[in-house]
Amino acid sequence: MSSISFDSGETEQIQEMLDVYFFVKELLLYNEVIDPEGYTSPQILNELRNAYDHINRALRKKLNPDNPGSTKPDDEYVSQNLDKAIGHVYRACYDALDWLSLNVREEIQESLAPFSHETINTVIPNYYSGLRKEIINYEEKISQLRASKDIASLDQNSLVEYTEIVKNLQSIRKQVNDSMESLSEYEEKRNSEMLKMNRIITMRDVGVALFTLFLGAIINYFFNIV
Amino acid sequence: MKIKIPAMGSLLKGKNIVDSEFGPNSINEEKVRKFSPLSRGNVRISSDRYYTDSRYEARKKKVYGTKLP
Repeated sequence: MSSISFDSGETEQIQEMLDVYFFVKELLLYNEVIDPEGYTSPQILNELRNAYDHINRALRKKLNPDNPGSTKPDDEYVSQNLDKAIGHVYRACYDALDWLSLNVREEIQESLAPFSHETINTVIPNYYSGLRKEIINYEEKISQLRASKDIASLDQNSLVEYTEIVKNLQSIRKQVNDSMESLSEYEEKRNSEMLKMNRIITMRDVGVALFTLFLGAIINYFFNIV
Repeated sequence: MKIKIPAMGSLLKGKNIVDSEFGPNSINEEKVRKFSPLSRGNVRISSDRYYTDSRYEARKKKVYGTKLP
């Protein structure tokens, strides 16, 4: 059995693919856990299947360059297939990010829906000034990336940026989840104060009405207007 | 260890198996219904818990159609 080796360019390609692949794997596992229906995404699995196919084509050529198949020179064939594998893994990555932002957004929508703006603003003071805008910015960014599906413009820096997006979305999700108890307590307190205030206002209004009635009766009695 | 497997192209004669593409995602409700009794693959897919393009787009439309508080 012959052994195989990779030149420095191929090694770099493999490293990039591994970095993105394990990122996608974690995103896929995480999304399956937080998806409200516990769904999976065959689209992502299909991209990974295609990536796996290109890796195997490259490995096959490396193991036995005389295998029938492509007529391209060996190095070009291997490198092109590794590039295609990277492309598929990146597409899986965009799809997984898109799904993540959808999951986080829906969870935040549903978690915060029962609470008033005042409660949210008091308990999570940076929600309207920061977190909400951040979520919308990330959604736009991810949706642009997914629409272009172009790896030509991608490099390791982009991957760092995506990692940051994921970390931040996860941190926003955590911050909202951690605030749920305080949100409920504040909302309850606020509702009970509003109820008390409403009672006072109602009593005042009833008092004013009774007083007016009484005054009207007195005026009527003394001056016999009607 | 060398495993004995059928020669490449024994099922699809004349097709270049190595450089063929799988093509777009072909999982849909009809296929899942047909193959799920035999499936030993992804449990979520065989139990109907997966996104087709239309399911995903419908969910996106619903979620993004609702404003964040």
